[in-house]
Amino acid sequence: MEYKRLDPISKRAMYLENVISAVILSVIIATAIIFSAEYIGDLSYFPLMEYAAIAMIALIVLYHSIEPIVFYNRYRYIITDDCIDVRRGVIIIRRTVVPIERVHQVEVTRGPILNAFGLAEVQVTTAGGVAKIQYQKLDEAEEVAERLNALINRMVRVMRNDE
Amino acid sequence: MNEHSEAMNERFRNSATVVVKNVATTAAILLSMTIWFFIEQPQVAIGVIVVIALLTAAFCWRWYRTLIELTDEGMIIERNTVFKLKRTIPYIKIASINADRSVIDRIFGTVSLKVNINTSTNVLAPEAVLTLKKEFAETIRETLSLRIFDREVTEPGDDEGITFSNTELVLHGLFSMSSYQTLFAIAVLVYAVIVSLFAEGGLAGVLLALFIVLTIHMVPAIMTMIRFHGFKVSRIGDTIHIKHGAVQNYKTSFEISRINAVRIRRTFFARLLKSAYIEAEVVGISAAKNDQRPLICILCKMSSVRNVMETIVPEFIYVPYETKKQPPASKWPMLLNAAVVLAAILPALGYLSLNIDHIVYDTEWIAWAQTAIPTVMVIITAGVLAGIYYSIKLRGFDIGDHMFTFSNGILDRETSIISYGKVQIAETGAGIMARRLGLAKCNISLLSTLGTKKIGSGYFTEEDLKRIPDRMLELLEYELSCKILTQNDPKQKEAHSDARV
Repeated sequence: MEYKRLDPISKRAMYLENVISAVILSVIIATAIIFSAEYIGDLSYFPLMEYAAIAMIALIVLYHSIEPIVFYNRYRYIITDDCIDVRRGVIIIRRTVVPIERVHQVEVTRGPILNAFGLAEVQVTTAGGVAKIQYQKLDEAEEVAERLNALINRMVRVMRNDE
Repeated sequence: MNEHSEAMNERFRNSATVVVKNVATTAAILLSMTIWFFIEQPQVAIGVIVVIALLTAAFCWRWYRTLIELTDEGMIIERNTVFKLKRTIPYIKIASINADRSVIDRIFGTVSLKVNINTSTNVLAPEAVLTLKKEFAETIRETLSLRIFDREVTEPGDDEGITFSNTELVLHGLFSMSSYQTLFAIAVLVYAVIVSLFAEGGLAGVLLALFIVLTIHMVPAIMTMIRFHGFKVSRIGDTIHIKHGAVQNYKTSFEISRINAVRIRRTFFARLLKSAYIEAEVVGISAAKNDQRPLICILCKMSSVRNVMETIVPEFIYVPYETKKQPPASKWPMLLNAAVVLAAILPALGYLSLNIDHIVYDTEWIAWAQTAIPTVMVIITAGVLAGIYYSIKLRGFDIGDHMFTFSNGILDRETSIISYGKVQIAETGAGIMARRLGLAKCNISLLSTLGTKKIGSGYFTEEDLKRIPDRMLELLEYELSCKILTQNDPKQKEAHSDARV
């Protein structure tokens, strides 16, 4: 069994999400600078503050433009009979392992952006938190959820018979 | 056994003490909110009395219409008032039954049995509270234990178990809390002494300082001493019994298998005394009052801690309490992270210091700020570098066949011994520098007494950390294949169930 990758359409959804997020962050920084000018007084005493704000906005825009490509290229997941294994990350690469036996609930969720691209997210809830398989095509997400439910049911049957 | 059969067959009510408790709590809240208006507006007092009387009638009605039944499958609580309720708690889901005795319980000779189930959504509050006459409560507790554990839970005798001296109790109260809290209290106390010795007319400052010390250190310390007075822990078979409390008696018992992790904690002051205390992550115990996890051992000497570990939780012993420290290369990713944080903070503070005269106009304040800000910059840098140095020296990790250990903390240190079988999610992560050096960090999600708990490691080799999820899956797979094997072979199933008993 091999690790699965994301569908290329997921990049578009990520870009749209990042555009919205970058605009919100830039507006917050710009507003903070404008308001601090009112409280501090003449901002000309602090020209670097304006440059710092511009640099921060530039960094945000740069990160948000690169992030979808790197995230897409690095994202891998695999569902075996025993566990869900997800590898993801941009700067910090994380590997999350969730044993199937620990899964309490499987949920397929879609926000407006994912919905617009026919994508969904599979949320796996355990007693110790939530793990996600992100940016799945809707039919694939439902297949993943179905497979997980089948594995959980098999596990529950084994446990119940044991009791 | 006859008593148990009777308890199983009949429906019963809580003791009427439950009404007294409800009325007392409600009256206390109402009076504390309205008592200030009684002199100027006596009609408020009349209104409060009427409200309390109405609520008393409602509590009586609710008590009378609430019935409890123990069936073959579970405990059923049925309430037939305006709000109908039928709650079934299957025995299989019950994790523990605690017996608490508040002051009101003692006056009326009752016991509150708190029934807890094993779930993350209900870790802080019990699923059901039964207030019953002492003898009847004992019968019900035994009946429930028989149903839950398939056997009667034998209560430890008065001379059984490990007890602790009053000196240990006092030291636990004073030094089990965060060392930062204790150090702050000491600093305030020193300030109070200096002011009282050298400053004229500084009485107000001294009184304020003493009040702060009292509030942040002495009151919590005394509360802890009262809570853990008469602490006693014992183990009979696979069941651990804990008993403590001066004003409110607290008594609980749980199976060893319910412990998700054991944590040995050593605060700075505890280390000076060569002492430690042990906490347990037990889900379904609802003992998490004031953000405290159940203790297996209060602050005592390390030799006593070892004795408690060997007697009460030997399953969690696999290393001689020492863990492998972070490799020297781990300093590089930490230094890189620190450099990023400092590169953001230090120039901002330096810039502020240089231009402080555009914000503050008082020359005295300008001079003070121009000294204080660079001092803060030096303290932050020194703090970060000291943090890295001690992190390499102190953060540890060790991996065993059935357990693994994380050691964390610089001033207050803790060693968490975690069972693979209790890990819910394992996550390893590595940044740019860590990846180049083959290092990573690991986060473990557990179900804890206070909800979900994440325990993190320092930087260790990716290979070593990878063994945690691998071993966790190996054990789960083995357990599952054993189950399938025993189900397919009736003889093995019989042998397996005998082994489990």
